[in-house]
Order: sequence, then C-alpha cells, then structure tokens
Amino acid sequence: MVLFSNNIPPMRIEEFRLLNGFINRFCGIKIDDDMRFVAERKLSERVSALGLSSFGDYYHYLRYHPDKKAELERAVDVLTTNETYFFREFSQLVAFRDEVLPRLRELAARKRSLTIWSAGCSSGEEVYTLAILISQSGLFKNWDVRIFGNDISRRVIQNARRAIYSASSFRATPAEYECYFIDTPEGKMVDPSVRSMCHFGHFNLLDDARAVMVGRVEAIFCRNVLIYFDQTARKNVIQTFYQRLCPGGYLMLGHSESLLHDSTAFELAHLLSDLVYRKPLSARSLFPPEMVKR
Amino acid sequence: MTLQEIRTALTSVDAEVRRQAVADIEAMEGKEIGALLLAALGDEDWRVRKEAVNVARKQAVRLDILPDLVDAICQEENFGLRNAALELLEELGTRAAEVLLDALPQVPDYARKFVVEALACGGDERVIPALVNAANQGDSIVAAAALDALSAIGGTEAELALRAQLVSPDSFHRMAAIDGLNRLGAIVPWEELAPLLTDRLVRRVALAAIGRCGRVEAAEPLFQALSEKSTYVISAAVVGLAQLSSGPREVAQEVANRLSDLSQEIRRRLRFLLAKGSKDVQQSTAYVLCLARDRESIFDIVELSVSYGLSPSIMAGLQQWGQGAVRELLDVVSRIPDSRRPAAIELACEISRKLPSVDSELVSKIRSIMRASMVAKDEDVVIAAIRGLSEWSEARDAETLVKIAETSGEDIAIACGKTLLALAQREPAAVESAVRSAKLDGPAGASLVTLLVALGGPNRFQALEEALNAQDAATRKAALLGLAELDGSKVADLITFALADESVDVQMTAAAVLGRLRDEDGRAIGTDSLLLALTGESSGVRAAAAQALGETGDQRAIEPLRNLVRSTDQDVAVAAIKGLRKLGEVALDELLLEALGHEDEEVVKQALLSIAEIGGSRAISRISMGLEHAAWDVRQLAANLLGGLSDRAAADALRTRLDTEPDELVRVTIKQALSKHGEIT
Repeated sequence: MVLFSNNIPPMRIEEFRLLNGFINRFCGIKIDDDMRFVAERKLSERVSALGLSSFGDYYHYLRYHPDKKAELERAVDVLTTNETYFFREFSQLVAFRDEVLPRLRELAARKRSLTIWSAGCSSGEEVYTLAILISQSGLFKNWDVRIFGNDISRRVIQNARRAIYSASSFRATPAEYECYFIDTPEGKMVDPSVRSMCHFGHFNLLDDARAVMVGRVEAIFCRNVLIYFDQTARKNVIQTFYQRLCPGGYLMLGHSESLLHDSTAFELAHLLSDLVYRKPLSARSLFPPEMVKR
Repeated sequence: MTLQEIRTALTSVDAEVRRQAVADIEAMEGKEIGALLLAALGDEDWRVRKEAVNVARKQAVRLDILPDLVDAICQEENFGLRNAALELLEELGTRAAEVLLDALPQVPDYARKFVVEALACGGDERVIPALVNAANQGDSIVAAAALDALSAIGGTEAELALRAQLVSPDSFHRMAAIDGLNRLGAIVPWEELAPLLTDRLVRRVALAAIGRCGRVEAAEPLFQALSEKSTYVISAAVVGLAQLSSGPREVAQEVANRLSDLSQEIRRRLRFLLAKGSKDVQQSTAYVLCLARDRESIFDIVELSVSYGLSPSIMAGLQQWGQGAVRELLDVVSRIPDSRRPAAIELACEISRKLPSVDSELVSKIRSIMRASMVAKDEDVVIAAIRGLSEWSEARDAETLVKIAETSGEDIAIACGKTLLALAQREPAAVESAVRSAKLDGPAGASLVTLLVALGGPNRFQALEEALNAQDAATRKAALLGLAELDGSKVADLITFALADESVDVQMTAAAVLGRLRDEDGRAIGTDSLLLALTGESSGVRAAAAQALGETGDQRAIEPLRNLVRSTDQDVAVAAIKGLRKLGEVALDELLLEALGHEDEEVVKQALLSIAEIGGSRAISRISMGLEHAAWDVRQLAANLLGGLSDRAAADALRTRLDTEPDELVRVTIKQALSKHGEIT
C-alpha cells in the first residue's frame, strides 16, 4: 500500500526545482541547490504520508489538490528551522531597551499606545522577550502596549500561544529575567502579566493584505528570517514593513542582515552599540515612490 | 512631480526629499534626465546614490550615459560617485561590455582595475582575451582584478587562462589565479599544484585546491596543515581531506587509515570547526570526524543534522564507522535535550538498517531505547522511536504499537502502521491478532485499514465496508483503496456511492478507483459514474474523474474529455489531456495546439507529451514552440521530446535554441538531445 511506502525515488533535480520554485512563490523561502538532500529527506515523509509515489506527484498535489494550501503550509513547516530562544542577540535587545524604547516613548507619547510586530516569530520567544523588556523598562506604564507575532506555521503559533518552553529556549536567558517565568510540570511558562501584552497570528509575510491586520506599528523585529528569502521576496516583505511602520519607527534585523541591496527607503540609525533601520520622519506617504506599482 | 520640482528637490538639505525626487525621475522623459541621474549618483547620502542606481539601471542604456559612467569611475574626486557608477556598470553586465572594452586600453592606470571589475559582471566569454591581456600587464592590482574577473566568468577558457598564471613569476598573480580556480571548483592536476605548496604566500590558498586533484600525494600536505594554528588553513585542509575521501578508492583508504590515528589535539581542533565553522566546513569536518571515528563529536553531528541536515557523505561516513557510530548515537539519546533526540534516534536507526550485520547486544540496546522513547512526552521523539523500531520490532511490540496508534494523532498512527507492516513480514500472526480488535476510525483508522488490507485475510471485505462509515475521512479513503483490490463487481456500488461522500478527498479517491475497476470479463464498470462526476462541483473531483476515464479505455469518454481540455481549471484541463492520451485519442490536433497557449505550464506540458505521442508531420514544429515557453520546465520537456524525434528539423530547432537558452539545466538537456541526433556540442 502506498500509504506506508518507503520506496520513494530520490528527488530529481527537476522535481527539486519545481518544488523549490513553487514554495518560493508561496512564501519567499528559497532552498539552496546544495541543500537538495535536506529537502528530499524532510519532504519524503509528507510524500509517504499522503500516499504519493514520487516528488513529482507531490508537486502536483501542492498545485492542484483541494487541500493544497494546508499541505503547502505543512511543507514549509517541515522545511524551515523554527528554532529560536529567549533573549537571542542580547546586545541588540539591550540597545532596543535602553535607546530605542525611550525614543518610541516620545514618538508615541500623544496616543499613549505602543505596538510592536515580531515578524516571523516562530514559537514566540522573541515576542515574550520584547514584552519582558518593555515591562522592565517601566516606560510604558498605563499605556496600551501590544506585541504582535506572526508566523506561516500554524504549529509554531499554537506553541507560542501555549507559552510553555523547555530548557533549550532559555540557553541565553540572563538570570535577572528568570522572575518572568513560572515553573510548570511541562516546562517554564511565561508570566501572565507578560502574556497579556502578546498576540499571535497565522499569516504569510508575503501576504501584504493579511499583514494589514497588525495595523501601524512603532517597531518591527524581523531577525534571521529574511536570510531564507530570495531578493524578490525580501523586497516585498520590506515594502510591507515600510507600509506598516509609523514615520520614525524602527526596523530591527538580524546581525547578519542588511537592506543594502533591497531598499533605500529606510535610513540608518546609529545607536551606541548597534545599527538599526528607521523609517524617515519626513517620509511623505505610506507608499514611497519606489514601491508604487507602475 | 514636475521636472522643475525634481530639480528643486534635488537641492534640498533633507536626504529623504532628495531620495524621493530621484525615485520620481523614473517616470520622467527628456534630455536633462541623464544629467540629473549622474548628479544623483554622486550625492553625499548613500540612500540617494543607491536610489539613483536603481533608477539608472533601467534607464542608462536608453539615456546613453554609459560613457559618462566610465568617466565617473575614472575621476578621483568623488568616491561615492565612482562606487555608484561602478555598481551600475556591473549591474548592466553585458549591456555595458562593449563600452568597457573600448575604454580599457584608454583609461588611466588607477581606473583600469574598475573597468576590469565591471567587465567581470557580464559573464560574457567574449571579454576573456581582454582580461587575459590585462592579467599579463605589469600592474599587479589590475592583473589580480583580471584574474578575479576570469573566475567570475568561468568556463573552460577562463580555467585554462587561470591555470597558465600558476607559473607566473609574480606570487600575487599565482595567488589570485589559484584563488579563482578554487572559486570555480576547478580540478587542477597535482603536478601544477605541488610547486605552490612550497610558496609561503600561496600555500594557504593552494591547500584549498589540492583535495580536488584526487591524488594520494595530496594527503600528506593536508594532514600536515591540520597541525597549524590558523583556522583558515585547518578549514581548507579538512575540506580537502573530505574531498580526497570521496575520490578514488585507494586514495580514500589511505586518508581513512591516517585519520584513525589523529592526535587528540587535532581532534579537538576539528571538533571546534564542527561546532563553529561555516556551513561547508561543518559538513566536511563532520565527514572527516566520522572517518576518524571520533566519539566525542557525535553530539555536534546530531546538532548539525538538526540545523542543516547531513550531507550524503556524512551518512556514508557514519555507515563506514558502523556499529560504533550507532552505539555512540544511542548513548547520546538519553543525554541530549528533547528537541535533539529525534535526530539522534533517526540517525542511529538509519545507520543500523544499512549495516550488513548488527550484533545481538546492539540490537537489544536499540530495542530497549526505542521502546522507552515510544512513550516519551514529545511527539517527534515518539515518531522517531516507532520508526526506529521498525526493523527490530518483535511480536510483543504489535499490541503496544496498535494501542499507541489508537490513542495518538495521525502522524504517530502512520509511523505505527509502517512499523506494524514491517513486523507483519516477520510476525504476521501477532500483528493480525493485535489489529483484529482495533477500532478502524479516528487518526489511526487509515493506517490500520491499510495494514489490514496488506495482511489479507477472509474478513477484509466486511471490515472495509464498515470502515467506509468511519467518521474520519482518511479512514474512508483508505477503505476505498482497499476495496479496489477486491472483486470489482462486488464493490462497484460501494465505491460509486463514495462519489457522494462529504469529503472532496474521498470523492477524488473514489473517482480514481472507479477508473481501474473491472468486471469478471475485464470490462470497465465505472464509466457512467465517472461521466456523471465530470459535472460535479469540485474541480478536484472533476479532474480525478477525467483522468480516471482515461483508465477505463471506454471510447464514450472521448467527447466529454475533449470539451474539458479548454477548461479554465488548470487541473481539469491537465487531467483531460492525460485521460485522452490514455484513451489513445488521435483527433486531438487542434485542441492540443490551443492547449499549448494555456496559461498553466502543466497544461502545456501535457499537450506537448500528447503531441509527441501522436506524432505526425506537424509534431516537430509544435513541440518546438515549447522551446520558447517562459517556464524552464516546459522548455526542458520540449527539448527532451525533440531529442527523441529523429528528424533534422528537430535538431535544427534545438541548435537554434541552444544559442539563447539562459537556463543551465535546460542547456544540458538540449545538449543531451542534440547528442541523440549525433551532434556533439
């Protein structure tokens, strides 16, 4: 019976390219050619579970089957490393806490509300980390503070909402922050006072229409996500970020990422211990000329 | 913005205003545009310059500013302008090649390097002679840039030019040449590399090349390099050793022998690279450490498999290590976090399955760890353990596996089903007994039904009929697939009724199965139901029915399928063409020509296949149309099909396309197709 087949033929280069291209158009992720063996290994379980007999059949399933969307999400889920942890790239977070947050307080003082978006938040560690830092800063007492996290994987979003984490999520957590977690039999749970600031949604970063749901935000964290995208997808996502940010709002990327080849719309903001991007205060509209489709 | 407004905005003190003005230039027409863009390329703010590059990329050729850009890279006053102009010329690639080639002999010495750099970016092989010439001129900076450019262009001619520089009297030339050859992954003969190893300056870079030469002499310098302090040198050596180990057998054996005697100090260094090196270095180091049977590196190899996956070489290395590797992997299972345990379990079991023999003590260890992990909290650990037990399961595991399947989710159930099926090959009675009382529904239903079908037995029909009433759609689908293996006449009504199932997936399965059903005399019995299904609501079901009609061999299906070839639902159109092909329909000609223009490339591919199958005088010209399609996979298929047609016109079409085909994979296919026509390219 095909359902239990272990004899799926190896992924041919043509099948890899078709699958890679299709997945890339869906969510922007691009798998390098030399990682074909990883894609083959990871997707073979899906091919087998669906009772299909080849990667070519799987491509057709992803394109034409009535359940194609759900399966495409599963494929992306198995292909991506969703691993993250609390207080990742701590020096940038310190810069955010000590230098960016005071500026955001000024920027949003009139409306007394602060919204931050963690784009591609995986299992939620970054969202809760930001909530903890905001809480610790004491700058936003009695403000409306919301931190939105989104991811393309339903599974990781469910884990994020659960807010219970195992030891590997705490590999970089400084001792001073342990008070924000409560021990449970299943792992450490994020303190409810922090959780109440955090909200999670399931959508694709390339889906700019769905991204509207996060509203206008004062800061966006998108760290170690764009590295998986090709340039076209990166440009589209950055365009979405530009649209969502208030003038003067900040965009924080991972340490190995930059906008150099993707956008001129953001200016560099020099912090004491980091460089981040900022939407210019004089940005004249939601849509800069480079982004208006002609 | 008007032109005047742009001109004013470009003098603003606010960089954002200037940047926006530059972006607005794109929509402008007029002679002055070129001058404004050139001025913006020299703006003091990087965002304005970058914006100007973005706009000029699309306009430079039309505005005829290429000579101005060459002038810009020759001036020494405004470095921002020079860099922006260089970036632009590089991005223009072949479009700028002619202007750059003309300028090369005339530009000042200090600017020649930039012209050479820009020439490299076009990837145009016609510039190679000019680059070779630049490489042989006195200025070593220009020469290094030219050699770098040759490596960027690549190809046999560029490789030969670089190899010729390996004997240059200038060390910098030699270094640039070997560096370029490394970037191309070129195989350079040992005899050309050996002299470079005595050259202090070049040696480091040469080390990275010698692993590719496949000669046993290369092993010694690589092993020596492992003792050096530089991480760069050790990384190059380990990559080289990994390459040698994948080379000829006697060379690989020599390297393996020496690796088994590595000192603790060198092992420690390699473990550092395994944990902290770049992705490529990590993969090579993992392979080398497997060959060195380094027990302490197992944890980091598991870590690597979680982060990036393990290359086929590493898997082969672990296999070569044999039972020792399996023992080490099993030992780490209990010591690592939950998130790493599935990877360790999967690796241990995969390697153990591939070994020619496994001793009984190790088998006991595998069983014991898998059984303990099957009841872990983490679902991924459970799945890995169930899969891992597959080869090593015993009769006593049957009931446990069925119970786990019944009380878990779909993924665990599928894993249980696979393992039970493997066990049934050895212990059919135990598996049958365990499955008999199982409930055929819920997440485990599909797996258990599939297992039941595979086990055979007299009560199959009754059990499958009951399973058709399961609440779980996947179970009903599995039951349909099982029924399809029984007597067609007996099950036809049940399967036909499943076309009315509430799940589209079940309906599609029913349609597919109906196409294969035959009565005692071998006649198709699903045609009428399938024709009815062609009018259903779901395009998925219509497509499944169209394809299944092809399986019936019933000529009544031809006309309805012909109508569906024009469907705007791509999947239905693809299925209709597939169905007609199966039915051997030959009167498809015009429809297929129409289908070649369909917006979905899968429809076009099916049309091409059908045209090739039908053949005839117009087949070649029609398949040749596929060579011009925007999608690479359509062009590749067309090339493949033309390769199979022994006609001069097919070869002509392929040859013509080869000149302009941009996709490397398609080019390879075209060359293969031409070789079938007896042409060597």
